[in-house]
Amino acid sequence: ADAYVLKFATLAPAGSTWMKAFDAWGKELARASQGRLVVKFYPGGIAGDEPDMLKKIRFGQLQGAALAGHGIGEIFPPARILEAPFLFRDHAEIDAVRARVLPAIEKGFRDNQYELLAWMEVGNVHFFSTRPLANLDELARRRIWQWQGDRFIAAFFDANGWAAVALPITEVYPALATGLVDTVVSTPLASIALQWSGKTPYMSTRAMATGIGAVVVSRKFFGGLPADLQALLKRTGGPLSQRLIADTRRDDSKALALLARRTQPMTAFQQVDLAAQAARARKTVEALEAARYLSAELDRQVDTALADHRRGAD
Amino acid sequence: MPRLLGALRQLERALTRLELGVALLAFAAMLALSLADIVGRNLLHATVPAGDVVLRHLVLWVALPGAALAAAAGRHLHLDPANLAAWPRWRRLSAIPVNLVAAVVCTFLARAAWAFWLDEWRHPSGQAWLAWLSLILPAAFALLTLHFLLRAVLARDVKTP
Amino acid sequence: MTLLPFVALALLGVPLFVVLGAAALVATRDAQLDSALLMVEFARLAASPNLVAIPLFVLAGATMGHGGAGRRLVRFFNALLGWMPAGIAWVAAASCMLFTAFSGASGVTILALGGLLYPMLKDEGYPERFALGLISSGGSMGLLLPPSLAVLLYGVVAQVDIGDLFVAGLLPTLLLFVMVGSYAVRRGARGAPRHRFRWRELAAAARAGWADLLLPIGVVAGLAAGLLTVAELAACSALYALVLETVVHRTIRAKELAWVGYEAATLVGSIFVILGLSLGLTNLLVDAQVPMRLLDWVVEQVHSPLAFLLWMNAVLLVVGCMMDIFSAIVIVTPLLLPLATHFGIHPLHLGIVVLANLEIGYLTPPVGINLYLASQRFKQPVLTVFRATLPFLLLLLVWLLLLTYVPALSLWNQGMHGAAAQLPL
Ligand code: NA
Ligand code: NA
Repeated sequence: ADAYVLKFATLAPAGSTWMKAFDAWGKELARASQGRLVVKFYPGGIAGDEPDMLKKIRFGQLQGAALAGHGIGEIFPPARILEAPFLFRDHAEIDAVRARVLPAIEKGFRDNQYELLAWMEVGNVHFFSTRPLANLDELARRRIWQWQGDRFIAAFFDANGWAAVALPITEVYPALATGLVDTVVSTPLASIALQWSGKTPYMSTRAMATGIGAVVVSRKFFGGLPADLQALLKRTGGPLSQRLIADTRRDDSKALALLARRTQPMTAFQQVDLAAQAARARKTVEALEAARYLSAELDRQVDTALADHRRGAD
Repeated sequence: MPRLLGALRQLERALTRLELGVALLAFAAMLALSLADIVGRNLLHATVPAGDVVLRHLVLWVALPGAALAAAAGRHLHLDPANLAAWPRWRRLSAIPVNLVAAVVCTFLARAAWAFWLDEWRHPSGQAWLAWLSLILPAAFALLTLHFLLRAVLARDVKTP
Repeated sequence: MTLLPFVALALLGVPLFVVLGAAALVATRDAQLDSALLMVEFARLAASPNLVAIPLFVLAGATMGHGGAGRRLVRFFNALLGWMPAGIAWVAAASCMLFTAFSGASGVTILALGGLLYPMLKDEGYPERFALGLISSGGSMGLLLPPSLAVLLYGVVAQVDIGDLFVAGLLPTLLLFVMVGSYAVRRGARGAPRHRFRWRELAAAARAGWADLLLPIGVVAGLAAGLLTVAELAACSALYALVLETVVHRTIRAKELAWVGYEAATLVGSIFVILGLSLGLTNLLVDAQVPMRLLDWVVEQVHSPLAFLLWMNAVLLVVGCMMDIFSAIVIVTPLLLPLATHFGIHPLHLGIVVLANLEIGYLTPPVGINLYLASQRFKQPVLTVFRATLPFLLLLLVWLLLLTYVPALSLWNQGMHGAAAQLPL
């Protein structure tokens, strides 16, 4: 029989933590299917920004992708509640809540023409800047990168009165180099993988949230596979997710330690009133619910699961 | 017949006037948005909402009407290694096939652009109204088709190359 | 898919964007893909903030050109440098190189400076073909100078320290400048008159042309100071040119502005349809993994570092013919890096050689964009431009060989701070 080819795109560059896991996954699929399921990788953004990847999936050039929050927001926006600022206190909370709401998220992806194979993370979100930051008000005068088309981040920036510069992620590096952008919100691991960290000698030491990610294939491709290959994809998804999350957390904290030595802290962030920030984030979440970007129902599920976990943990 | 040719010539003139108007407006808007952004960011610490994204799309609003204008004026980049254009007889003979080939290709490109735009419309990235900005793609390729068809008919009696 | 019918269409005078479009449509069908994908790529023209600079610089150039800035500048440079052997050729080469670096090596140079430098060279009695060749090739020669986007992009993809890469590019650029200048002295300046230097004429010429001179100087200074981005500077240039010609010099009346806009829009349009469709073709090549296969084939043949570099040059020259520089960097670099490491080639040296190769790709058909930009800008057939650039193409190839086999040209600054840029992740 002919081999099924899964053309798979990601922004992660070849040789990065993520691509290593994907490569191993591709080999495992080819081995377990005896060559009937072949993954062709298009890493490092050669298929374009995440919205471009999704367009190419809709037009049938690609069948799958590894996406960060922005791409997930183009498929099933409510899932982004998991990266709302100041929602979780640690990874254990994230793991507990995710376990509870993942079925709902999987259904959300499926209803929007995608099969969610593996959940992943891109690391803890920090501010990186070419300049120091004496107080938070200064951020209003900064050129903060905002992922073009990302309504979720845009809402939080708006709530803080920050005038962002909207760019595709592939344009961020030259923008940092030419001064079009001077501040980015990113994770230590991604900052190093994408080489942004060389341009940003200042970093906020406190994480705001943990960036989410997902490995997806289109429903059209998934539905066209024979049952055993469908089962194989779903079966390998769990271990892939575990490896991606574990490797990302390990390498992200290594990257944070490394960058902590090589950068200056953005001191303004150390004096932030956490309670006030969390309240502002909560308001933004409510606005996004009203705009039907986030789902009030899923958000309540998250709140309940988090409260249950905290009761059990305390 | 002469009356039909006259009408077609008028149509071509009306189209080029429209396209030039769009391109000039887009140029003016690019300048205005750039200026607003420079002043806004550096002095007022405020920006035009979505101004940067619109500015980048205006590149298409200058370029694509410009491409239609270039088609009407026969100014598109082309090779002519044998210097055939110096030979009036060749210019007359080739006008119909060359412009028809161009019109057919542009028809397919316009169809592709329309399919692309429908997808943009159904799956907007970010604010939904931004999808209107990419409407210039199918519109311009349709205009290019029309211009090449008009050229196929009208290019025969053009005096200046 | 056979290329023959498309070559035939191109030779018969069918517009090149139509030929590119036809090829892309057929290739899309052969690959059983949706033709809308061509437009997904085309629409990416609206994604790059640096691309915004092109129409605005074109507008600035068209305004200045219409307002007679060329004449005023010729007079000034005549007064300043006319006494030197091949003086204006040196100035043309230097300003092209600098401007290319500042404008992100996107071909803006030919559009922005061509209208000024071309008449200068011609009025000075340089052979038309020499002038055409110098400006067409000068539009890519500053590719290695800061803050060239090509270097930035290479640094991102190859994960090489950008600062080191810029330092590595200084000596090669200087070498190329001297090579081009020397060629100009030997070849181009034969018919050019040499003048006596006169202070009085210099002062008069400066009075007439200082406002024009301020534009390129302002662009260079603005970028060097990092005050404005390329696109913002382009907007300022366009506004400055408009105010200068309509209010100060009053060489353009309000009614003529529509004509200036028409000139600029048709020029931008004819370039961007080609750029947009070649993005679509590039996407098809990536999808079919063509660039990757080309390189796979090289690995099979190659057994020594010297042979590797030779093969790499050959393959990159072909890639440079088929692709624009930015796609080529993104696609080819990740494949070259492990090979280069395997053969023990320094990543900085590799970067300079790769970029030098792709720089030459600006001048090679069918996707040598500078050929078409120059053809359009100077209203000359593409083949005439190609013939005019041939001597410079040969110079560039000699230069490339020097860079390839004399690593010290790129690595003279190394050893002071070895491979400190590499992160342990
Ligand atoms: Na540029
Ligand atoms: Na090229």
